[in-house]
Amino acid sequence: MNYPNPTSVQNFSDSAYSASTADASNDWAIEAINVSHRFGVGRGQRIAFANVNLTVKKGEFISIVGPSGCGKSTLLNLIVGFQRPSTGQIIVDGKRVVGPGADRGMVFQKHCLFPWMSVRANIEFGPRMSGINQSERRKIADEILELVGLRDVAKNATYELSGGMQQRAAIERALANRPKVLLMDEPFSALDAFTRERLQDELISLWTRTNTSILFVTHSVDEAVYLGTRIVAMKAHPGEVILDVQVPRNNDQDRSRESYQKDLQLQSLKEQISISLRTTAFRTA
Amino acid sequence: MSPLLNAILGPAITFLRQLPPLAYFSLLIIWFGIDETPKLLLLIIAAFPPVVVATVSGLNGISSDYINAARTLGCRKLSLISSILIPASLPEIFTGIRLGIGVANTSVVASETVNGIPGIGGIIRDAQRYNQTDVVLLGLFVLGFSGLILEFILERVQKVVTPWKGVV
Repeated sequence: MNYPNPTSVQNFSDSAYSASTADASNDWAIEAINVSHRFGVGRGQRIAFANVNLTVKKGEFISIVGPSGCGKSTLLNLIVGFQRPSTGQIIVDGKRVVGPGADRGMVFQKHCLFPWMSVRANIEFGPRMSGINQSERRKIADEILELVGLRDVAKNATYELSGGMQQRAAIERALANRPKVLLMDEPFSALDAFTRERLQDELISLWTRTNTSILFVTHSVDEAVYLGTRIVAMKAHPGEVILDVQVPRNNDQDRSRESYQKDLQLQSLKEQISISLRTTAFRTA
Repeated sequence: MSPLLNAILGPAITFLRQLPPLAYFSLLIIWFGIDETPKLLLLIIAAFPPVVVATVSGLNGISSDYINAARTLGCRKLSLISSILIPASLPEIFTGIRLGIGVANTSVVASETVNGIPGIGGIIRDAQRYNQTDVVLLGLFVLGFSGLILEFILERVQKVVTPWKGVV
């Protein structure tokens, strides 16, 4: 196996950071440097996670997997800018994160489409906020609607769509802004198994075509390995990165579900991650 | 909703809501006479509190999901108000308007019956003086029926303006 011992935390050396921050045209999409986060104040204070270091290369698809309470969603909220880290800093595309912005698209567990707008208006919302004129907006939306087959429902109200369609539209709405990174917080966990598989496949194809960096939070190890090019596993109480491995894919072109299921290396990686998550859970429970 | 605005506006609205319209209508007549002006003012004052209460409750009830989603799409303060906060609370604002119109309507008629100002309320009061039961009944019927029509129209408008109400 060419991935490290699951119990060891793979940290990047400090010199790697200084080198990357000195070079403005670095190829890091996201850099989380020594990030810790605490909830509450005084004696009730609780540590979400401590000293997390995470760097995401441009074009990388990182799956963050772990049990609830491991801080994976909190980490995403810090990167998107809803919250500020207690210590450490988060840099996206060379700029320090101080709040939410159009350069970081987000897809939530719930689709969060605006019901007072049509599907098309939802997708055009991001471009409209960044001041793109109407004809240009229409073009962007048309392209995107074509991409995932939402064209026929463009004029519909969002609540007339099925759950899968709604989540598709939510992904498209985030992508319409052409974000540097796409952050996804368990986006498929509320869907039925069939729809989930379809959307997973569509996401892979979207990612290969747009080459956006994706940070995908999930509690399913299977989903994490199937989608990601790199897996970050976290344990809970307190949150900590226990594993950071590259997914050893023989053939990056062949991303079919069949070959994934037949790939013994991937299946054993899945097993390995599950075991390390389980053992750390036992240790801390 | 800013806490300061809430602290000032909250008690003022509650104070206004507790006053029976008939009570302050007397004051309006003293100040503005018995023509249309006091009626108009009464309509406004009576309709105001339900609309404000509904709007505030609508704003407070907006799911933070919508606001968060909008912020990640690059939405900032002013457009947040026009694109998210107002449309998201529109269903409740509309319910407030419906309530407000109802309250305003009955307030004016009630005031007429007491003060004998011309209008359907005034007719009912005059008819009562002469024991004309049929006229009183007709007046009541006209009031009820017009209320019914008004509510029907408003409901239709609400369905058109906020079709997602109760669905999302």
